[in-house]
Amino acid sequence: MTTGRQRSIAWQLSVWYAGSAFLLLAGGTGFLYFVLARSFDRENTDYLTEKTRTLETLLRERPGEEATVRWEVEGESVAHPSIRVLSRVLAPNGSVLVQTSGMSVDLPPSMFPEPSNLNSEDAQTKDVQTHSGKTYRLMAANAGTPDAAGPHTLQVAIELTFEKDLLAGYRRQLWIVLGAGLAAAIWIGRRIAVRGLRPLSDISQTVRLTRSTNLSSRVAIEHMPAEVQELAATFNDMLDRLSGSFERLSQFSSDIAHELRTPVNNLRGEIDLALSRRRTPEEYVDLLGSLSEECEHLTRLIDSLLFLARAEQPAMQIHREDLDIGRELGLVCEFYEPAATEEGVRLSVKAPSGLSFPLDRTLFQRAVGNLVQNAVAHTPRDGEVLVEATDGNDQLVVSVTDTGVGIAEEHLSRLFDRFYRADPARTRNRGGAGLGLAIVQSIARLHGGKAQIASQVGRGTRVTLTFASAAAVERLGTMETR
Amino acid sequence: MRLLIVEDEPKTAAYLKKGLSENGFVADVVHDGDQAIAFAEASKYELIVLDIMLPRRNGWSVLEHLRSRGDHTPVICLTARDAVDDRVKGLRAGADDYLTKPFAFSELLARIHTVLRRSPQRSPDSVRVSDLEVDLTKQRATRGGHRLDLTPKEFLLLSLLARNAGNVLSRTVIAEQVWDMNFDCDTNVVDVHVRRLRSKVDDPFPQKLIRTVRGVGYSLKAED
Repeated sequence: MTTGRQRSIAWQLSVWYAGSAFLLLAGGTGFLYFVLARSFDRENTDYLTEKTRTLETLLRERPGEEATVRWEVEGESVAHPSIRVLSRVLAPNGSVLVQTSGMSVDLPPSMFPEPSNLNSEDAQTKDVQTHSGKTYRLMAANAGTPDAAGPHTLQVAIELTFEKDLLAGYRRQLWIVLGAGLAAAIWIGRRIAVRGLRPLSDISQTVRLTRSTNLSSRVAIEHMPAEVQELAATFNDMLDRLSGSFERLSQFSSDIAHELRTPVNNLRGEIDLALSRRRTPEEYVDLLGSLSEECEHLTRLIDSLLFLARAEQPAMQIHREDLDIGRELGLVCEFYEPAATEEGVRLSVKAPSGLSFPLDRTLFQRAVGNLVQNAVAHTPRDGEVLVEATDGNDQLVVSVTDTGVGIAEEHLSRLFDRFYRADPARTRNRGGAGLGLAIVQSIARLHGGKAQIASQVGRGTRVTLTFASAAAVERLGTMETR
Repeated sequence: MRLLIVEDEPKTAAYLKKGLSENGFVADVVHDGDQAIAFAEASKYELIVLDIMLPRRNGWSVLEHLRSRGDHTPVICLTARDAVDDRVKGLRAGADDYLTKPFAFSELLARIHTVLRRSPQRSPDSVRVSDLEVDLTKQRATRGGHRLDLTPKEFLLLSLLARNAGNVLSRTVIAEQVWDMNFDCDTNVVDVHVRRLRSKVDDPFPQKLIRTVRGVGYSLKAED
């Protein structure tokens, strides 16, 4: 049992059920047998003592009335034919005065124990087996006629053969009952265990049949016993999460393939076309420029994917340095400002002066830059984009608010998903590959923070990034492990 | 100027050598780490372009070996791995700059120029391209004797182009050098900046100096 496969629970349970049922049965029947045997035993001894005492009284009180004694001795078998009692009276010199007929054959006087005092509680008895195979209980006592020669001796025997046979038969039946009981206990125990464990085997059946192709199967919880329900529910939860991840993963893969196909397709098409006939040098230069642009698309896509993949690894380290938040936001907006002005969008920054926070500078620039670019792209002429920083307790909150077209409710929850575009018709030239917000979110998470989005169609959108300080992240980490 | 290219991928090595030769460098190419050390020790190079994933002895090891021997030849690392950690590791090990594959050749060229300028020779006080004069010390630009009214960032952009006159600068390099944006941002934004600069530097004059090189970037160049 210490190595290899552990015995099954059903096996262990059946053994325990069968074992305990058998022990109870054996104990009960054994006890009853013991009580019966003891009561037989006591009854016989009592009867023996009673008989001896009667004879003793006769001899003492009616000395010389030999006929009465003889009747008492010989007539016993007549009065109680079922109880075989034999008795004998010995004269003080040891000769037999009177005895039940046939007694001397099986039970000669020498066989009896020494006479004992009848008045003491434990009169001496002795069990013997005769040549003929019969069992007797013997008792002897001194009695009556206190003449000079000394007392007479009474020798009384009671046959136990009947009780012995009865008990032997009882014992035989007991073994049969116990044997059958054991078999029944094993069978019933097994049934109970298997029945009790059926929910478990149902679960394992579902688990066994679970493949990546049928992640939709679930364990039916309704009829499960309370103990197993939790396990089943946990398992179903796990399946839910797995199937969710799986769906996202396969969606992700097909999205990647799709995103790669478009630029590669353009590359091939343009090259094929260019090679199909001789072109002027200007045409070649133009072609190569176009190819280079496609390569840039590919490079950016690969960079973004790599970034997201790395950001998911727990080992990913960020390099925090104390940043003057107002200055950094100013730099980012200065970079985007002319583009915003061209679109007729006013871009402004609001940050408390002297606000400093430890962040990874490149990542912070990238996150804010991405949001500003999105906001500008979705805000119509004469709109406004406000980048705002506020100092929270141990955290920095940066929000980018626009007065743009807004995003419908149903898209909000999925906007941070990779490759998700609220408007599928938008071309990649304008919207990028749809990885921007996913990257923004992973940057916030790398800083122990989060990204949230709120929007109203026609009113505008606000994306809020929360960054936690390294100390806060550490504190949170220890709290989570506790 | 002599450069050493350490790159095991033949196609990459070939185009690097070709590109650098066309830009006035003399380049030696080796294909593994051991050769790299042998070549670097045998002759003096102005700069080493070092791939990190190399057979036999990787780029880190080559770099460590050179630095431990007191060889301070500038090194630009190339790698397909672009973990931020790698970048920090590379710069700590003594690399002067770091490029992630895939990269644009123009970007490598720009970085080579930047690194070489960082080495002892002083950059010029002013640059002249045709009738444009960019005074780097006084932070002033004039064209045909007329002072150009530029914002500080516009001046930075113009001086970056002027210092690299004749070379093409990628949008990424421009964003990084002028605005300190170290991420791969939407480079259309750079186009807007260049357009603004053009409106002041080129639009009022018949001769156009700022050129767009399609698919690559921008360069400042007098007409041939």
